Amino acid sequence: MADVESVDFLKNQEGLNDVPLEGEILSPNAGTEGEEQEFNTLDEPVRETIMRDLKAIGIKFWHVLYPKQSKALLKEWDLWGPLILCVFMAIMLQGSSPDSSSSNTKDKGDGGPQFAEVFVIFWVGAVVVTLNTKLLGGNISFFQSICVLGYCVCPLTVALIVCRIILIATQSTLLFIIRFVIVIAAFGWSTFASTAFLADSQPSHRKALAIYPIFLFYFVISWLIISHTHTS
Amino acid sequence: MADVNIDVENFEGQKKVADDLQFQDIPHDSFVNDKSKVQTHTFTDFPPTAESDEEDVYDKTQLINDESKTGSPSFWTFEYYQQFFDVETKQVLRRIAGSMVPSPWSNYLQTTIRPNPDLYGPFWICTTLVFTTAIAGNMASYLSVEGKDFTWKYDFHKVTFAATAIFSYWWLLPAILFGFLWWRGSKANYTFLEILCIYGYSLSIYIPISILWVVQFEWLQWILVMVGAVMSGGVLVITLWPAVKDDTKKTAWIVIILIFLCHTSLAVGFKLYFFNAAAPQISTQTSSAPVITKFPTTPHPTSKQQNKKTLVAATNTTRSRLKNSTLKRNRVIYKTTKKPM
Repeated sequence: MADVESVDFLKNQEGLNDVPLEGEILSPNAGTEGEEQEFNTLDEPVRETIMRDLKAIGIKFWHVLYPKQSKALLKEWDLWGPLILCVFMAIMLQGSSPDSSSSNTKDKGDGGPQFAEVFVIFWVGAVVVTLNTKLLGGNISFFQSICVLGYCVCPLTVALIVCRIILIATQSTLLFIIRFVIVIAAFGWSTFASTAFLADSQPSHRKALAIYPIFLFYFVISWLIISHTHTS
Repeated sequence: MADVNIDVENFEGQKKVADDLQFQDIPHDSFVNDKSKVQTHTFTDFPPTAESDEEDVYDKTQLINDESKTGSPSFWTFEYYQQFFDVETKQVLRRIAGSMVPSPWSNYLQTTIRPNPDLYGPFWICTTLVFTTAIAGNMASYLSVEGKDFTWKYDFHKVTFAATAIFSYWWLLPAILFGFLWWRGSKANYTFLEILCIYGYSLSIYIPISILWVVQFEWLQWILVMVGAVMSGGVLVITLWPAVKDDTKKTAWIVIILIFLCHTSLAVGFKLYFFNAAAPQISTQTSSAPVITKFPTTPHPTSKQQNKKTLVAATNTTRSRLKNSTLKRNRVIYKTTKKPM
């Protein structure tokens, strides 16, 4: 009996010996497939790296100006576009400092905002509106929301450029009305574009509560643009 | 012998003690006055934690679902602040409407705010008020230049001033009021958040008023001041009356009158600082027409002393209050000496 068992056991052991115990230990990202997924930016020329980022920014501007696809801006956020727009607007909108080029020493200057004031209004305004959206329970990340709000200022920046061109001519009521209409149109465009991106993240009974601060933010920027009349 | 005696006595004594130690039926009537009570001391006033403990024990599903409500989140988490924003659009609109119309038979706090006071409404009302006041103030000063001169410069710094004034009003007065109520031991138990909420919503009537203040009729502006102060001040007073009515009559009335006065002075201050059409707050460099249009006396550019006299006359005729008159004197810039006459 014991012999039979031992023979069976030996047979089984041989069977065990036949199982191949060799092979390769594969990690999930190993192989050529993993290398294609990673961006190996060390090997490519610098121009390619920069052009890739510029292309991404340009695509986002395009999506803002023609807000048809509503998801593209949110997936990959970046803050380059808002920074460019903010710096450009702050440079254009800043009033001249007092005592700059006037003979009267008591001149208060242009009365317009300082560069820092426009900058702060832009960024602090975007942060406050984003915080409001998140506090109301929206399911959008912090930087995505700032990205959208910043990029949607683009129509207002275009309006600012157009107004500045109009201001070169001598002013009249008609030109003021034209400027006003342009700024209002840009304001509506900006608000519409940003609500197209952001409104989906809120439940329906709070949508108006989330949209109103966005409206106020762009309204304040529009007021800064329309009030900028001094061209020195 | 003594032991035996003692034993006998003690035995008898022990028997008595044993009898005393046995359970005895004591008739309840002889001890307790109230027949309905079995205990000598019954709890009738439960602290709030006792009730919530019962809920936790018996209703665990609700505990899982409303975890953010039963356990209060810490001050440093985001969820702590989310509980202040738990409102819907309709609720906010209803609260704004209720803050404008005083009604003596329903307490605004109880009907609209009490279940969940929020910070969304007051914060955005204050922000909107800051910008509408600054924008309307700029428009008003623009219109008072008779419109033809496009080198009018707008004053951006009205925004910063308005923001400081409004936000400090919204926070300081409720803080003072809450401190006063806490010191006097008011029994109405208004939390600080509720007072903030009431004050924030009470500012909402000034938003349309500040837009209407652009119209350059002095009598209309003062009527708007009165209307705004009375209506929202009325709501404030009616809502806050239950908090102070338990105090002595004198302090209660003084507090109520002070609340109303502060509210009114805010409105009057805004009107005088931002929208005063008679005071020259803008400066133009190239205009040749006189800037001041509403003065009773035209200023003579001959001597500085005469300019000082007209300056004094100007500030007197605008009926400015003391705190605003110093502001205006600093901001008035007279250009009349430069004009060729």
